[in-house]
Amino acid sequence: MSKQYFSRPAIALHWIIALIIAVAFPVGLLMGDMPISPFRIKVFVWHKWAGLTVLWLAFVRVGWRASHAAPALPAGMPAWQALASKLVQWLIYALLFAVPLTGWAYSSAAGYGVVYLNLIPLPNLVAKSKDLADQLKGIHETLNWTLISLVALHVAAALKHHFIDRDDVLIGMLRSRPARSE
Amino acid sequence: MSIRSGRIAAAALFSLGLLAQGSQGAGFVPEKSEITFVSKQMGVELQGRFRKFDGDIVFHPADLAASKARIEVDLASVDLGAAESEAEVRGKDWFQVASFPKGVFQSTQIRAKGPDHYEAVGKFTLKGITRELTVPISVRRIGNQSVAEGGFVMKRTDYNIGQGAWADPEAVAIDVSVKFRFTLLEMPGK
Repeated sequence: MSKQYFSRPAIALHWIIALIIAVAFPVGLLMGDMPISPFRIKVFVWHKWAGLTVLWLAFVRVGWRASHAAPALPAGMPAWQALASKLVQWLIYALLFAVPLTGWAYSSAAGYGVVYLNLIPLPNLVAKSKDLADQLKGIHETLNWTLISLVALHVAAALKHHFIDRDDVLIGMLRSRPARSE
Repeated sequence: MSIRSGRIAAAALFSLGLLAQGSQGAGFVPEKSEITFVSKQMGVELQGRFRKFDGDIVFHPADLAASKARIEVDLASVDLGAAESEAEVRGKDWFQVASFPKGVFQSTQIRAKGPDHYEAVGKFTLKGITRELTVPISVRRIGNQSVAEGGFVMKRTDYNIGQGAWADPEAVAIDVSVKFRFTLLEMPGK
């Protein structure tokens, strides 16, 4: 019988990253319009810390995935769905790196260094440049909308599996083994 | 590096930011002088400078008693790299430039602290508050000019800089590091 469930670490990484994105994305959308204040400064810094946390968790996650197989897809799934599933998941993985990295580079270009968690000074990825900052801001935003669109597809597919196909695809990312009652 | 008396110049000073257009000064070259500062926001260092400052520097290594410096910084000329931040800093919680347009350092004494090293003691006035300030200065020759450099760390709260919500030391640190460089004019005599 093939494995149907993700391991506990994979599940934890998935949901921690999902939760951080669920907060950091809307904050990122709104913070640029905040009036200047100590709170605004903190929100920007917290947003950067959140993104950098996603970045290092993404490394852990991909490393874990490389050494721990994901559960097999349900038998009988159309090939195009299996392909779409893989494509969306790997694009999301790629964006877990690309989105924080472009945010970090944007901060560098705008002249703001980053001291992760107020503990670890990070290098500037690019030199300060207004033009480059404007470009990176646009790229960061575009990649974010791409990420959120893919996440929406991913969520829609998970819900479709759960409520329409009534298979274990969503359950596989909620608990690492079947409940005793099943 | 030695300073040859007789054709020297040099001098002293103080204050916040980097230089330029519109600055005037006696005894120094505004285009080759700067007043910069570094503040910390949530642990992140941010550099700023002042675009405009005036002053009068008289520096004779061989006659420190006759040496003196007065620097007046146009606080509205602050450069933070972001117009929005600059507007905020000109406002009443920060410099309140409408009432206190200038930051002023007036030396009362310049004394030697070793080869090419000096100390300027004086009064620093910011936002209506005057405090005693001692600033270390080093003087070196670059080509045929003397360059005086120095800096100090000030507590912004000593001068009511950053009041109201900004009093929060976490968002913007209390300590502000100020650095300056003045390229001095050659001074005749002495």
